[in-house]
Amino acid sequence: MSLEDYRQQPKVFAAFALPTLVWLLLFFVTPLTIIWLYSFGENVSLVNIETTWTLDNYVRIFQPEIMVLLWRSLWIAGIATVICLAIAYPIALVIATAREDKKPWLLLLIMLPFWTNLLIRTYALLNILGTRGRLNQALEWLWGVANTAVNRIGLGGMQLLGENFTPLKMLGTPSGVIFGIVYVSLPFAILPIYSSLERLDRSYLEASLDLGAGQWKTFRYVLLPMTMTGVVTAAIITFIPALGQFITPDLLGRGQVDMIANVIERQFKRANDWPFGSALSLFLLYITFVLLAVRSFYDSRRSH
Amino acid sequence: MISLITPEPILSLTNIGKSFGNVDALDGVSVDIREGEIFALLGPSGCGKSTLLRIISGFETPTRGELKLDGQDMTRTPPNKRPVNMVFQSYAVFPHMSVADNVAYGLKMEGVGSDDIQHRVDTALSQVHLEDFKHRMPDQLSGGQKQRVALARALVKKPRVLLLDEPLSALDAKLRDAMRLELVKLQETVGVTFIIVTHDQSEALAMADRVAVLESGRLRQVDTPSGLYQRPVDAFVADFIGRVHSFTALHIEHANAEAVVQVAELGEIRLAMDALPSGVRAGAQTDVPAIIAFRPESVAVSLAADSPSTASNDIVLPGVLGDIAFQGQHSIVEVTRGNRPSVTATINHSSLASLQQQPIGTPVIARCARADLMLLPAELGHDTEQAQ
Amino acid sequence: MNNIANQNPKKPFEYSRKWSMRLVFIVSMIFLYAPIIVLIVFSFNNSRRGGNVIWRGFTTDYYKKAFANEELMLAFANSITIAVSATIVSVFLGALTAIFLWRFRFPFKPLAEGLVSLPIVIPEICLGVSLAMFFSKMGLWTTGDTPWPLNLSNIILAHITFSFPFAAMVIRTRLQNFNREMEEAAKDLGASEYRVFRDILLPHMRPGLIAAALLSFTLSLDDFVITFFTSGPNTVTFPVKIYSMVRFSITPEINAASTLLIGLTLLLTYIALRYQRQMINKND
Repeated sequence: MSLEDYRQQPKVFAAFALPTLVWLLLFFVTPLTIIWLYSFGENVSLVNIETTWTLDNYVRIFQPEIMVLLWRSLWIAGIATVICLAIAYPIALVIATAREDKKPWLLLLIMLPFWTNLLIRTYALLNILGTRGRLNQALEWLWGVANTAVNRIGLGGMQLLGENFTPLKMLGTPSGVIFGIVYVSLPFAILPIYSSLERLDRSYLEASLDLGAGQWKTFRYVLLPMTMTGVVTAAIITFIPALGQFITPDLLGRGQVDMIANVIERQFKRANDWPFGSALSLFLLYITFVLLAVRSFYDSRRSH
Repeated sequence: MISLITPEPILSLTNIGKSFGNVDALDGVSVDIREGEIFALLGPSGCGKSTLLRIISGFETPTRGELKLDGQDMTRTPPNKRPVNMVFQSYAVFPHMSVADNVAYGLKMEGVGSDDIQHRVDTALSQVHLEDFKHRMPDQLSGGQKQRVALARALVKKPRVLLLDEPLSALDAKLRDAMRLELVKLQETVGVTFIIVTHDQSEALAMADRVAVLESGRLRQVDTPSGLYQRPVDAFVADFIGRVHSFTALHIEHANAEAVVQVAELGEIRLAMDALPSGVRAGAQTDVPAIIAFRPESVAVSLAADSPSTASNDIVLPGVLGDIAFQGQHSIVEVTRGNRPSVTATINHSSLASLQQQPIGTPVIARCARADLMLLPAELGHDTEQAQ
Repeated sequence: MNNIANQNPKKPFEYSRKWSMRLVFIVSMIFLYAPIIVLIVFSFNNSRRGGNVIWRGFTTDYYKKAFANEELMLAFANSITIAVSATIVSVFLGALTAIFLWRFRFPFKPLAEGLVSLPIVIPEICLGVSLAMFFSKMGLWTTGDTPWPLNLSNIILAHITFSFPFAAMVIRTRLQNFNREMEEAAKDLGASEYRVFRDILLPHMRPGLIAAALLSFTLSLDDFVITFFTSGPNTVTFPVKIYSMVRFSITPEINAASTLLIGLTLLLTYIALRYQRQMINKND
């Protein structure tokens, strides 16, 4: 399809382009510029900030307490992303190889929780993850079944599973936060992998099988490398929001497992240290840009 | 059957059937494929030839029947355990591996040692003239080169049978003709049995030692290209391989090595034959229709004015001269016959000269020698034996 | 090319038929749905205790309570007002964006495309914080005295900013399969630039516009983080209200309120699906 040169119809072009550009300039670029200026600023009074071009706020990011939080945010988001991908890949495979008439329904099944409010989904987990919550009830039941089985086969005396069921402590622990992030981001991870699987010509898999590779080797050498773009997209689309997660660590972490977003929130809502909060926000933004750059580098390398 | 003299078949299909739901994609397909031949599966799209190829390669399991390779039952063997390799219609050259890695892939899966792989990959690449492309990536190759990679990748495994799915369909016309010859030469060099699926009859006739014609999931005829052309078993094969003009037989009698056929438009025709062709029965041709057919190549056209006295052995169809279409080596002359279907004749240039000077509408006579007439069943009966 | 085979293509890697893969799928679906179902079921639980561990009988009391909760209902009305306003502007702005990016060639186009997609990819907390600073710096901060619904304007502006790029993406996808020859045919038959837009392009865009509207509406209704930062003292939205209720104590009333929002989402999805099916039927 041929594109029109904007000079052919400058007025029409302006009519369509200007509202968007003005909007973005006003409500996107300007706000980001403000916090960028704030990040080099100092509090002169409660709400007045002067941009003194100090690097103090950025230096403060590297103090140990913040570094601990940053590091924690990174590994929590990282582990959550890896778990998401590990679950998402088989699910995407099932959907991609399902019968044509079932596919839209399976996709809807994935998308429905995604449409549901993030806060509500996290709140729903709050009911499940407590020490006396449903997850522990389910685990206790499973423990009971297993214990009975162990007793039946005459190993009861050895107390292989411990004397009593110990409930998993999820709330207020990193595992609870990871559980929550996986829960809310799983649909994000499935869709890009699914679309890369859909685009894959099945004759590549057949060719691999025809050349003597089994299912596993075909997965390892053909399927996975050929859908890597989808996996990388899924990883980034999961990791970026996970890194900036606010609700999950707030509600499920119970203040014990704070991540970057929680510190940022505190600077603005309680500590009133806007310059430092701005610097932290921008730091998060820079990490995002680096990740996006990695992805586009990966894409361009693959297309050669 | 002449199976006593032919060598043991390399691949033998017995009564293969495949149903998808209520639809029979294949039914009762039995054929033996001989070692070292180029065998073509020919038929219009939707005839089941691709399904048959996928059954041979192992991607589909037949609903009925048996498949034996070198005498061993392979009906349910998965594709990665069969000594059969395939060149896919889309080539399916792995885009994330270099040419050499693509060719080496199958050997790695076999667990062949790396020195051996190196050597065999080089040999295979030189067989398809791609020695210099070893380290290229697939997106730097043309369609024809990708096909060579796919060929080398399959051949390097030294398969018992190489399957080629519409191997020439994605190539442009010029490359197609060159590749036809090259595939035949390659087959002669490597000696591997080739099974080629195609919908293009000229492709099948040009390349194959034997051709199986499939239609609606059934095997119509298996024969050499010239056998198919000269002795088609039914109207479908006759029309699919080349072209025919056909006239409905109304009544057939058979006695004293002679068939007396009453034909619409043509009247009574006597054909010398020891027995009626299979699928054709004597009597009124109401429920078991048969046809009298001849090919445009057997038709001669002459001006009605200087027509010789009618030789009683020929079929004579008077009409007027229609269009003449130049076709290079020969021309196609149309004889229109009022509101009856017109007849075309394929005529070489020496006999064309006298016609070319005449205006359209000049009375002419189309004739066909009795020996070139074929009596064929319009539909193949289910109980028909295979030719050969 | 083989018609019969294509009616029921049996693929060599039919993972959807492997029991192990099915198990992974089913367990994941339980993982995704169980918490929501538990939440809905326990909104009918006759228990005052939070945590909702034991079933104490069926009641709709908490729905009555939720409906009687004025603050909650105001928050709900706020959310709907914000979502409707943000949707209208987002679809309009999104359509303009989609058309100029789809139609024109101009200098710095990749930059413009990147800028438009940036609000989608950056962490929402960054957007929330920067908009909050922007409103306070520009003196646009609403106070407790600002009359309704003007006090929602900041939130609406913020919601438009993050949802119109999504709308533009959806509409542009629709435009991508527009046959430019239709436009040329219309011009050839004498239609003016404006008539072409009205008679040819707009009808083609319609399904995209509706999909974009539903997406914008859902995004606005769902948003918590950005609203949390840009809302003034008296401008509470439904998610923000639920958040403060959750922080205070966990009661079945929150379950009831959440269930209402889930119900609304389901209704929107249902409308979207019905509309989509209608479109497919029309196209046939």
